[in-house]
Amino acid sequence: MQTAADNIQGIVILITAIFLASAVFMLLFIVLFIQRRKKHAKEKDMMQRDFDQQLLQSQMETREATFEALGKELHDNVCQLLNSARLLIGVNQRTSLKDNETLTLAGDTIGTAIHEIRNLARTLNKEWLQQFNLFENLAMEAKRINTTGQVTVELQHTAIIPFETEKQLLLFRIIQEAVQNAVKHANARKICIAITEDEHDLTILITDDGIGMSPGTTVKGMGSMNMQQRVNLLEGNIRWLNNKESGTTVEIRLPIKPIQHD
Amino acid sequence: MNLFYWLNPIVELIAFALSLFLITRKNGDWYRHFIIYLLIVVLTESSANTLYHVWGQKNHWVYNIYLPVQIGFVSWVAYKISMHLNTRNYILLMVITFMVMYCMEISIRGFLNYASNTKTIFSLFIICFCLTYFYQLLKDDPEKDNLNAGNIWVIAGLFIFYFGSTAANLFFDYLVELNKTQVRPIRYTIFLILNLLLYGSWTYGFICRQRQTIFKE
Repeated sequence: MQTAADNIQGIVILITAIFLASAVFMLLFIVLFIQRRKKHAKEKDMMQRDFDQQLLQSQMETREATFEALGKELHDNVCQLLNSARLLIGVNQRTSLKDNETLTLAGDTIGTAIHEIRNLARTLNKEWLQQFNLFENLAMEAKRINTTGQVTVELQHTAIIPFETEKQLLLFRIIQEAVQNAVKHANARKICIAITEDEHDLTILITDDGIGMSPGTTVKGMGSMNMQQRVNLLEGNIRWLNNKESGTTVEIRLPIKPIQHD
Repeated sequence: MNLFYWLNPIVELIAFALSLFLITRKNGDWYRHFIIYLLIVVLTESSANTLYHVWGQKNHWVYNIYLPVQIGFVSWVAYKISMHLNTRNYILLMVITFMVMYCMEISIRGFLNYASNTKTIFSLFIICFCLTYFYQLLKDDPEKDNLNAGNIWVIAGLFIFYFGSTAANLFFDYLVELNKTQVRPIRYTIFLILNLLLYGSWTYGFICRQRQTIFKE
């Protein structure tokens, strides 16, 4: 009788131990499986992000190469053609007996166009841009726009740009696009570019006094998309804000990281 | 009075105290019902212990009163945690089966004898539910932080408890007889270990839930 009771007790202990061990192993498996799957998903996400970043980088490089080619073409071809046209006008003026005001005006206009195209070609030339820092290029860009007399661009900066030349170039293109948008689409009269720096971020504010955006409008369009892509490449963020009085402010925040040397 | 028999109520009392400390009493958090349930568990276990070990009376009727409360609460927790409508229908079936079996067993064996077969059948239902839940969890979005959500640990506790108690439930009548002759009865020891694992797992679930609520705030 006692042996039967002992047997039952042994069986109960054995079954309980096996069941408990199985339950614990199963739970361990589930926990490990979930952890591994999560890790895998994270790695996949990171790889996707890296891929997107590389894709964007190559898109930007292609665009820069196109800009460069376009700049060279403008400088070497269009400028030469305009120069020839101005020369011909000069010849015509000299051979003409009376002073022709229309020809003089045409010559001056072509001269201005040549000057503008040269300036534009410079800003499109990556090699040329790499020789200067961002502030110099921005100042040049501001000067170029200011000479039109239609818009005043003001540049304020307290920061030293902690980026490599390539990143400075990206940032230059972003600011250039924002300024062009303010000129072309917002009918701005005054544009202010302010660059400040704190412990973690570099902040760029491009403020204009133009027509602004209607409340609730989402910013879309090729130029804005390019700006967003470039900001993504710099791992920052960009916002379009309506000013209290009038106009728009483009706010760009970029994380400051030490310059990487190869 | 043997102190060994009071280990189970002590474990449950600690779990109740921890639930009071860990579970947020914010409106809408259904976890706060664990506090009431754990209080009922402590009261049931203590009164059953006092009845049997102090006054020498049979205490099965106390557990028979507690059984619908236990099954009702566990089913409700399963319902709250279940992810799909199919599982919810399954829980409804589980509760109906329990009610029918409980009434039948009480009428056959009498109210003074524990309805162990009903509990065994319910254990099988809850084990199947836990396995379904784990299967759904494995298929769930990997981005979700399920391991830190609390629910998984509540179900894990239930799974260990009911799966581990299968043998003790199947051999209930033999073990009750053995109880009378043993100083440290095997059934009691098994349930002490299972309770430790169940309430340990639940307490970790409460911690996860508390963290989650803090992060949400």
